[in-house]
Amino acid sequence: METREKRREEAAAIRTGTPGDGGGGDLGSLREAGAHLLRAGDEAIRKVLSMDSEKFLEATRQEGGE
Amino acid sequence: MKRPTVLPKLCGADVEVANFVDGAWSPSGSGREASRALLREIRGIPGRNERWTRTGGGNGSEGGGVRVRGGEPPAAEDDPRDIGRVFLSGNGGCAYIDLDHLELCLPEVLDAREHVAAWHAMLRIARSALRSANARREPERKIRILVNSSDGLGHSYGAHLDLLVARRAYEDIFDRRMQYLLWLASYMVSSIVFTGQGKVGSENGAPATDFQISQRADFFECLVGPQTTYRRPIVNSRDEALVGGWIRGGALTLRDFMARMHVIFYDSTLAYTAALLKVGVYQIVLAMIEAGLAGGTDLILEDPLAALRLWSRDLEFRRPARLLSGERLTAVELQLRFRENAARFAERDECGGAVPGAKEILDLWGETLERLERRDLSALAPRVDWALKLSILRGAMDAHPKLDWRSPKMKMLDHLYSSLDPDEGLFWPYDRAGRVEKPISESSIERFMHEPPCGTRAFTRAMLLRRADPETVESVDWDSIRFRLSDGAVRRTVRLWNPLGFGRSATEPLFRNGSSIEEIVRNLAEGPPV
Repeated sequence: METREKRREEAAAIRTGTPGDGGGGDLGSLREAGAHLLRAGDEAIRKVLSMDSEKFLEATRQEGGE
Repeated sequence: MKRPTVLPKLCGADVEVANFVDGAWSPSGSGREASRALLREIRGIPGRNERWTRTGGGNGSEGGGVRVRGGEPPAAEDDPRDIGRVFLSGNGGCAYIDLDHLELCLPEVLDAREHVAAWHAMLRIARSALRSANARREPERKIRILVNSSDGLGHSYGAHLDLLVARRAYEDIFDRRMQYLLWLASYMVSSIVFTGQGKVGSENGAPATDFQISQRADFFECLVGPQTTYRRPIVNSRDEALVGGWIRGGALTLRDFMARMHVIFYDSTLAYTAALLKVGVYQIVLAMIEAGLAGGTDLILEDPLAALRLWSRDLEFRRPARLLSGERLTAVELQLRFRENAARFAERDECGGAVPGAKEILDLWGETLERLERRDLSALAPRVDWALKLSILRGAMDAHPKLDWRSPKMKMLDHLYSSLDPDEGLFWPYDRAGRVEKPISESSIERFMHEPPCGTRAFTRAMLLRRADPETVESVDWDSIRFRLSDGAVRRTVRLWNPLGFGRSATEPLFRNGSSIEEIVRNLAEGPPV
């Protein structure tokens, strides 16, 4: 499940709404639901990916809490 | 034999968030600066006479209540685990700084749905504080809040639940019946399949992995103990009942009947259904223990710690762990077995009124386990954080082939899933688009930003704090408020010892009939002035 190929299969499954190992449902509505799900976050992901990740990760350091 | 009565499973929570300053770097991080800037923006009544001003002219966040007056934050911060605590007259919860984290404490509720609404209400109060704090800062030094449970650098912080349990059941778990402890730990370890927020990588010397289900799993190193900051135990035994003192004149006190389960095990959850299941199912499981229906060896893991690390890395629920009975089950198979037992318990109505909405919680639990059994990520994403996060991260890698699990940008996406900034946090666009299931109403979240729960002492706490001049409030804690009345000449303590008492039906008439605060306090305080 952790290979890129497997990942693509699963991303495609979300896009098409195909349940992972069985299940059912209306394929059209599932496809639409999957596509909608991905679209919802696309802009946010693009925005995050334009940030300086190394600088961000350096700043996240926390004290252990509780 | 008649089974013991089960106490209502009243629930609170104390949740630390990650807070830091953008662009700042120091060996110990920037949490100190960030947490203090955030807490300054939350209006409330100081818990222990720590009256420090909200500087900079901010209006404060939407926690409700009055502005407090006084000096700067205490110069001598004796206990870094409890700085600047303020109670909110809006909903009866509180906020403070614990080891440089802003900590949000939810008002006590009886119903798991109320808990979820109160949780998101507290997040909105924190978001309001974040906006106010950042409005006064340079854009390149803005503060970020992440609603997660580890920083990816080996530090974890807690999202603790606090549940009322009968003292007898508490002692069964920790002092008398080891099988109850193991049974509870086995439930908790397997429940990560719906409570985990998910994270990229591993920490604390745990085996490497690309992605795992639980953010906290790597940090648990023993089965039971009172500690929370080192060698973390799966089942925490800290005995802090918050129902008054142990002994009063030799008579029995509420502490002889009531205890608090301090649950340090779980991740912070943003998904509403995951949060509902995390609390609601735990309420049912505790009720089963209290009814004496726990401890079967067919549900007890032989090594809960090993199972936790195994199952946190088992994204397809195919890896079995050994039970005391010798059987080997996957996390989902074990959860199905717990649910079957819980359903039988509920069908016999042994929950009584202890867990409001128990049937709905059981149905939701069962339906979620079915989706997990099918390994149906697209059906799980709307209700379980780790599944939504994994879907987002896989989608990002698919769209950006240069990304892989070891890319710093992947860890950044992981963190920013839980950013409280609605324009930046990856959870929120899915929520706004209706792609996250919401088993509670928007109005219930709005209500808990400004109103307390009705069924617990949080109601009276909030009402007293609204009515009193803040200068007359000498100290506030979960189970008492001390007033200085008549120009300081008289001190009275209202003891809110019974967490199930002091609800709206019990005390609202006092607040409605136009009585002065002195009259109300006199009515609520027992005995002569103290």
